Amino acid sequence: MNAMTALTTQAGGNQAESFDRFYVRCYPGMVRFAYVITGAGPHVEELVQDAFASVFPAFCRGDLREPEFYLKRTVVNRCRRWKGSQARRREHEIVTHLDQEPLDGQGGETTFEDSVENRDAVWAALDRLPVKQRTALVLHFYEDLRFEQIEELMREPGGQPLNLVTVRSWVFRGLANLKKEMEK
Amino acid sequence: MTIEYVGMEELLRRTLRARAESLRVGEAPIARPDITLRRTLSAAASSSQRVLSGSYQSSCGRITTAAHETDEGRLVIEVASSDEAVAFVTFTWSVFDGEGVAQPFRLVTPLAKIRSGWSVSYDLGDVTAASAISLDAAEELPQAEITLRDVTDALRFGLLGSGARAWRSACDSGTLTAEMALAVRTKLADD
Repeated sequence: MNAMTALTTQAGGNQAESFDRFYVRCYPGMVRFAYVITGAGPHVEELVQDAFASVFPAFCRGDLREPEFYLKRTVVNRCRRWKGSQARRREHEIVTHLDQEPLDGQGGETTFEDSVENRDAVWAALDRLPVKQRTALVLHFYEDLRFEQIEELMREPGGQPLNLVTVRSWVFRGLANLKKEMEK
Repeated sequence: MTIEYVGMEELLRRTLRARAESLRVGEAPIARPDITLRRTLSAAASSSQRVLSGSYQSSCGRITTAAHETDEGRLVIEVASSDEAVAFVTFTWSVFDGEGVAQPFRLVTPLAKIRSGWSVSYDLGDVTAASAISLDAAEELPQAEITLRDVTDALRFGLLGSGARAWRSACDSGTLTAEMALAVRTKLADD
């Protein structure tokens, strides 16, 4: 928090919008976004503040054509790293198991009652998904992003582009796994 | 109440939105410099390396706040500006006890004329029992926002020479209300 408070006072290099305004405008949405990716309430504000601190230098140099996209990608990567570090072992076990499952589309015709209990069950099931699947699901169904946009956000900074088939498989496998959990 | 059945995608979408909306997000942190002086550093002060001091700028860049802990364990600040337009400043700090519980303080003060600008110093009291002290750099305060409480609170602190001169000068210039001026004159007379 201290780093961020100091940063916000020094910012201002971006022509279109000061860092202060950018921060105040984007902060609540980014915290909510990070929350649905990680499911970790107490930690998300810190993750998001770290992400803001990370983009601060490039923002002030005016290097970012789309600061919000750049920030969102930073948040995605930090959330994935945090989530991965929390459940690496468990994820490995699940992935090993799921890789043997057929890719059976987007959830079929089955419907579920839209109840508090079922939403709680979905939320709990999300927490058991591998990080990449959960992140891809959030980007697709919470942020309403296309697979190409998801690929851009989930690509490591400076890394090679991801295969779109891979991105699609994260979304579909994630959905299939959620459905399977709900049908238990 | 109607029971609605939806596909997995829609249930997921609704779940994510509801969860996100249920999260209470605090206000974006206020932009202000934050300085923490750790009491533990004062142990090294006697060996000539007084780390427990520093000079900090206000957000407008026209006001400098210098704070340090004396050898006797008293917190002393000096607020200075070279801008005549800065008539009053406000300064806040918190003293943390051994269990990390903070007691916040606020000081409002005018500045006194010195040779190179305007300045004021205060002895803010004994901090030997504090585990840490968090300081915000002093900021300009519009005269219209000063209250009688601000004045009486400020007069409780140890007025060093410049503090007394600053308040006397504020009285003489007519910038204080009659009540405020009376409180100041009474305090200065008692001292």
